[in-house]
Amino acid sequence: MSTALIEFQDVALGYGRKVVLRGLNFAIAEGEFFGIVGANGSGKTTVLRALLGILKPRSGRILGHVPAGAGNALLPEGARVEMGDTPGAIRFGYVPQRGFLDELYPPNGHDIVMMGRYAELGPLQWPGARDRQVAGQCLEHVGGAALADKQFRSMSGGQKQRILIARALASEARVLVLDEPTDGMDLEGQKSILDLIQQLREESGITVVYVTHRLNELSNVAQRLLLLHDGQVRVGSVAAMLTGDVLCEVYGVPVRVEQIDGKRVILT
Amino acid sequence: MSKLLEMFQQDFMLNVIAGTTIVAALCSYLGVFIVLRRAVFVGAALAQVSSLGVAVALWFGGAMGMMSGHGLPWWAQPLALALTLGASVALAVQYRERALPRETMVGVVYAAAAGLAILVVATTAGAESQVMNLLFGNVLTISGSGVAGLSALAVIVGAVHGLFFKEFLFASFDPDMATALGIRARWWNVLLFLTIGLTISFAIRAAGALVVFNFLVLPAATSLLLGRRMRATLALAVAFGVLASIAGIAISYVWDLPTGPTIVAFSTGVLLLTAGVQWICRR
Repeated sequence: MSTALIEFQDVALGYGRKVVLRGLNFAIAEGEFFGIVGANGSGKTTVLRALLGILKPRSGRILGHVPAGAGNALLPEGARVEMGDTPGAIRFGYVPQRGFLDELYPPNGHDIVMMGRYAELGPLQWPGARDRQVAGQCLEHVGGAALADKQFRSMSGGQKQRILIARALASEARVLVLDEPTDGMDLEGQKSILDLIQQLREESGITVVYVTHRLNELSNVAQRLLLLHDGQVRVGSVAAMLTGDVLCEVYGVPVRVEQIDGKRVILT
Repeated sequence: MSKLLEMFQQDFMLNVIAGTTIVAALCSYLGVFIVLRRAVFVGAALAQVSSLGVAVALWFGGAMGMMSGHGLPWWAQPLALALTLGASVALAVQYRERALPRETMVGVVYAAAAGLAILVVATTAGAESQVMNLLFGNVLTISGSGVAGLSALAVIVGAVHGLFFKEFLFASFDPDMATALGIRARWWNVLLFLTIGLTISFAIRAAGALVVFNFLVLPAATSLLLGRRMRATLALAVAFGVLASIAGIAISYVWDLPTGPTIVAFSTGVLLLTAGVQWICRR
C-alpha cells in the first residue's frame, strides 16, 4: 500500500464532557477509497469533522502527512503535522450533506464552485481569469456546465451534489470527503454520483473518503471500511470486513454476504 | 413641491438626510448577512446592549457629577461600544446547542439588556426625555459632526468588507468547508459580527433603535426576494435602504409626520409591493 496520508492514533472524540468514540486507530492511504459506515448517531460525522481538522481529538493524535507535490516553505513534503493545529495542511475537498447548506443564500452554480478557489487565493486576493477557468473546467468535469447560471437553491439533489463535488475539485483537493452524497436520491441518481466518483479516481488518483449509512452502497467500490456501531469501531479491508461473521458481531443480527455476478451483496 | 425644495435648503435637514442615508446603506448591507444567517434578533439584542452601555454611562455621570447639562460623559460611547462588541463576539460564537437553543440566548440578552437599561435610567437624576433621546437616538438630531462620525464608520466597515468579503461569505455559507480548506471560519465570523456590533453601536445613537432595526431587516428581505446573486442582492439591499431613507425623510417633512416610523412604513410598503408583484408574475 502507498504511503499514509492521514493517521488516527488511539483517538477519542467527543463534545463537551461527553466522549462519543474512543480507540480510533487507522490510516488512510493516498489514492485509497475509504468508506465510513454507520447509522445516524453512530459518530460518523464526528469522525469526519475530526478528519477535516474542525474537531480536535479529546485524546490521541490525528496526523497528516503532507503529500508529494503539495509541500511549501512552511510545510515541506513528507512533513507530519497535527491536523487540528494546521488546518489546510492537507487540502480536503469537503462535500457536505447538501441539506446542511442554507437554501436562503442566492449564489448560482458558478459562485459555489468559485468558493473552492478561495483557499488558494488567501485574504485580500480576488478570483481572476485563471480561477474562473479552473471553476469552469471543474463544472464541466462533473457534467455540470449547464448549471453555472442556475441558482443553487433551485437545483435538484443530484445537481447540487455535482456542484459541490466540482467545488471540492476546484480547491485542488488531494482528498475528496463526501458525507452521504447519495442520501435521498433514486437509484439512477445514486449510480451517476458513484460513477462520477469512480471516474475521478481513475483520472486523477484522488483519495476518497466516503461516509454513508448504507453498507451495500460501498460494498463493491471501497477498498477499506471503518464500521461504527454503538460505540464499536472496526476497520479493515472490504474483504476482511464484509463477512457474515464480522457483520453479525458488529450489528448483532444474522447477516450473510453473497456474491452475485461477481459483486458482493449484503443480506439480512 | 415647494416644501420639498425648502427641505433641501436647510442645513440641518441636509445633515439628517446624509446621516440617515449612511446608516441606511451600512445597515442594509450588513442586514443581508444578518438575515441570511437567521440572526435578525441578534441585531435587536445588540441595539439593547448598546443602549445599556449609554445608560450606565449616564448613571455614573449623574452619580459623579460629570454631566454638564446636556452632554454625556466622554466615555459613554466607548463603554456602549465595548459592551456591544463583547456581546457581538459572544453571539457570533457557534456553539453546540445543548441545554438552550442559540435563539434563546439572543432573547435572554435582549430582555436583560432592555430591562437593565430602563432600570438604570429610572435611577438616574436627569430629565427623562433628554435621556431617551441620548439613549435611543433620533434621526432629526443628527448634526454635522454626527455625519462626519458616520462617514468614518462607513469607511472602516466598508474597507473591512471590501477586503474580506469572500471570507465573510464563505464562513457564513459553509463554515465546515472553509475550515477544511484552512480558512479559519470561526475568526472570520467573529470579525463579521464585530463590524455588525460596531455599526449598530454608532447607528443606534444617530438614528434610534427602530430605524436601525428597520434597515437591518427590511431592505435585506426585499432584496433577497429579487437578488439572483450575492453581489446583486447586496447592491439591491443598499439601494432599497437608501431609497427608504430619502423618501421617508421627504414624506415625513412634507406631511409633518414622525421621521423614523415614516421610514419604516415606506420600507414595509416597498417589501409588500415587491412580494405582491412577484406573486402576480409567478401566477
